[in-house]
This record gives sequence, C-alpha cells and structure tokens, in this order.
Amino acid sequence: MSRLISYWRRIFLLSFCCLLLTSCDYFDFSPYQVNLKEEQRNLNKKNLDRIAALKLQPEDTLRFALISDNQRFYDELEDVVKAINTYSDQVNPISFAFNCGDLTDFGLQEEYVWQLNRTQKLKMPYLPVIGNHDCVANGVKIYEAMYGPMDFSFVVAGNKFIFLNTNALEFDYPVPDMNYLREAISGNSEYQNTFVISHVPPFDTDFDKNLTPEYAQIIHSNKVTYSIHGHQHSFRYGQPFNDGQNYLVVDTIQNRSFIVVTVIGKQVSFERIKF
Amino acid sequence: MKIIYLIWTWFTLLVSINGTAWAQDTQLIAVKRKWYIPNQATLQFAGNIGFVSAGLGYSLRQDKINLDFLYGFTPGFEAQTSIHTLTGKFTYTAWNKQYTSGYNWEILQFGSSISYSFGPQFYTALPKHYPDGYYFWTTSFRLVPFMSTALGKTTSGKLAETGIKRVKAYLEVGTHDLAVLSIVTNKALNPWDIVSFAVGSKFMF
Repeated sequence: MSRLISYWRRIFLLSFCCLLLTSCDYFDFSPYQVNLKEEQRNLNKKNLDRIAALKLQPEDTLRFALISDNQRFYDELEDVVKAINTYSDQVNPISFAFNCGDLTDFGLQEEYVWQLNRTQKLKMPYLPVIGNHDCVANGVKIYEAMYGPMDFSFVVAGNKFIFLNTNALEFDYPVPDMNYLREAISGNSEYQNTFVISHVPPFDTDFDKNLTPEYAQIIHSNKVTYSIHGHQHSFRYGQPFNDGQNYLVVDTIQNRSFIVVTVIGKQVSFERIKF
Repeated sequence: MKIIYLIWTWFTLLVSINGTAWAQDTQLIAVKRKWYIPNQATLQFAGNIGFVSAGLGYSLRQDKINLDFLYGFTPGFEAQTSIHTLTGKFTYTAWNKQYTSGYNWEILQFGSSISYSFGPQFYTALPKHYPDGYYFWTTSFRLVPFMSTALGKTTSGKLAETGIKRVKAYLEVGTHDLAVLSIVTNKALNPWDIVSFAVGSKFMF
C-alpha cells in the first residue's frame, strides 16, 4: 500500500514538474501554439493609451514613422529601430511609429515575439497593421491576441487613423470589411486629416478586385490624405487611380529605408530616410 | 538554473519509479514477437510536437534505432485554438554506455521527427486561390530535428511484473525547419532563440 502511495506521489510530482516547465520559455509545444505572456497581449490598446497620454493638440506638429515588411529581416529590424530612435532624438521628435504589415514570414508565434522584442525598443508607441504573411497558419489568432482586432481606428490631435485588414487571399469572407471602412471614415469632416493604413494596396493583384472601385471611391469622396500600404516591397508614391488621391507604398525594411510623415495642421508631407 | 533543477528532478523521478528490487523470481517465457507489434510506449512533454504527446514505437538494432509514432495535443490557451499533431520520430543512438547495475546512459542521440498538424488553417499543397508559389512552405508538415540524452534502467519488482522490461527518461533539445531558416539569414537571432527543450519517458516491453 505504501508503495502505491509513493507511486502516486511520484506521478503527482511529475505533473507538478510539467506545470512548472509550462511557464518556462524554453519549452515549445508546437510551432503554431498561441500562448503569450500577459505583457505580450493586447498591445494596440496599451499603445493607444500611451498615445492618448501624449495629449497632442491639433496645433502641435505631429510626426510619425512608417516601416513595412520586416518579415525575416531581423538584422534590418534592429537597425531601423535604432535609426528611428536616433532620428527622433537628434532630428525631429517622432510621436509614434506604424508598421504596414508582414511582421512575420510564417505567421508563427516565435516570429511575432522576435519582432516584438525588437520593436519594443522603439522609444515611441508602435502600432502594426496585419499583413498577409501574418495570417498564415494560426497567425490571425496570434495577431489578435498580441495586438487586438485587425480593423481599428483612433483619433490623435484632430487626425483620424484607420487600420484595415486588406489581405483578401487569406480569408474566406470578403476582405477588407467595407462596412467597417465606411463607418470609421464617416464624419471625417471633423478631422483635419484622415489616414488609412493597410497592408495590400488596392491596386495590387492580391487585393479583392471586386472591392477596388469602391475602396478608391471611399478614399476619394472622403478626401483621405494618404492611403498608406506595404506588401510591394518597394517605395511608391502617386495617384494610381488618377483621381487626385495620394497612395503611399512603404519600402520593405530590407531596402533599408523608412518614412517620416509630418503633419502641421492640414499641411502634410513625408520624407524617405535611408538608414 | 531553475530549468536544470527541474530536469534533474524529472530524471530522478522517472528512473526511480520502480523503486528498489522486489525479491521475487519471475519466470521468463520467451515469445517471439511479430515484427509489427510495437515494443515501446513513449510519453513526451513539449518539443514542438505537442504540449504532451504519447504513442507507441519500435526499438530496433539493439536499441540503436528508435522509431516512434506519437499523437500530440497542444491546448488552445487564451486563443482557444488547440492543435492536434501526428508525429513520426526517428532517433539514432550514437554513443551508449552500459553500467553493470542495469543502468545505461545513451549519452548522445540525434534524430528528427516529421509532424503533421490537423486543421483548416494548415495546408499541405498551397490552396488553389493563391497564385503559384505564393508561399513556398507547407504549414501542415514540419521537420523537427533534435539531439537528446537518455538514462535507462532495467526494471525490477512490481513494474517488471507488468511486462515493462526497461524504463528510460530523456532530455531533448530541438528546433524546427522554419526556425532554422530564420536563423541562418540573421545575425540578430541566436541559437537560444530557436531551440526548445523536451523531456520524455519510454517504457519498453
């Protein structure tokens, strides 16, 4: 009998051992696991609170940095983080930074964590939009756990920012959610500028072409300042629909450049910076 | 330090499960086993093939080669997306030391698993709606290479009566193909970023 007890005690100790190991970083259960620590969750909300705490006013000069498609370029990611911090300290202060998507290559949690550990070194709040690579396998669940909803919007100093999931190939329902875009953009006359940030540009073959005309029409009729994108891996700026609307495609960081947008009232300009 | 302590505890607990010798003579009846009947059961914690995985396998060539087939379960945690994985695992023992007391230490083993994860979010061939070569890798299959070390002991007493002849505890360090691909092109990542430990036990019958 006593042997039996000690046997169960051992089993219990083994399970306890297992539980302790669960909390340890060096044990991966699956490449596709979604098991984030508390400090790695819900980061968009946390960063939006940080932006709100800046208490930026419409008359203030607003600057934000744009990077895109860091994917499997961790060396370049470390460099761009340093370059943005240096720019903010020594040239012009940057209030926050956006990533135009493809934070990861394979949509794996460990990649999400690798890029997070590096982008957390940015001195300003950082908000990423979801890219198509970030959706692969359990990627969407990881994005939602780490950052929050894929479509979201916020107002800073009288400027409206709308983040939109445009990765149409990754979903079995129509993407982008045009109802969300219409609703978020409505009443934009109250704002001095509106920016829409999404990964796949509406003129890309990976965009849902049934939705391209409607997207362009919404951008045009609401006088969006810039429709900002990534995905194409090379910088582009122009009016692809010849309707007077400006579309900006941000370089992959592999090309070692980032963009700084400066907003002074209704005057908006950008600068492409090599690092 | 915590990890090393925990791993050591795991080893001692597993290897000592059958306790001290139970003085009793058991008559051995040699039965020739059919080749396809498995001769070992495995239980593993972590290692990229499941939170826990369990299965049956074969010890071949005087235990120099192990072939195991495991089912692994990973709970959903906060995203409620649990993962079911089937794994074929090949282990080769490169360096083994026998001790007279019935213990042996397989100092260095290495091998690789091929895992298959189930679910609509995983594909083997790229779904048709993507342009050709849009993603170059498959998400359902993963190659999981590893190195391991194992401590084995011939059973005695009550445990031996159940038909389990030997027990083994092993510690594994491994990674997976996509993580290897990430590290080879980046100085910013180091081996600690991609390795993952696993502990397990084998019961040979």
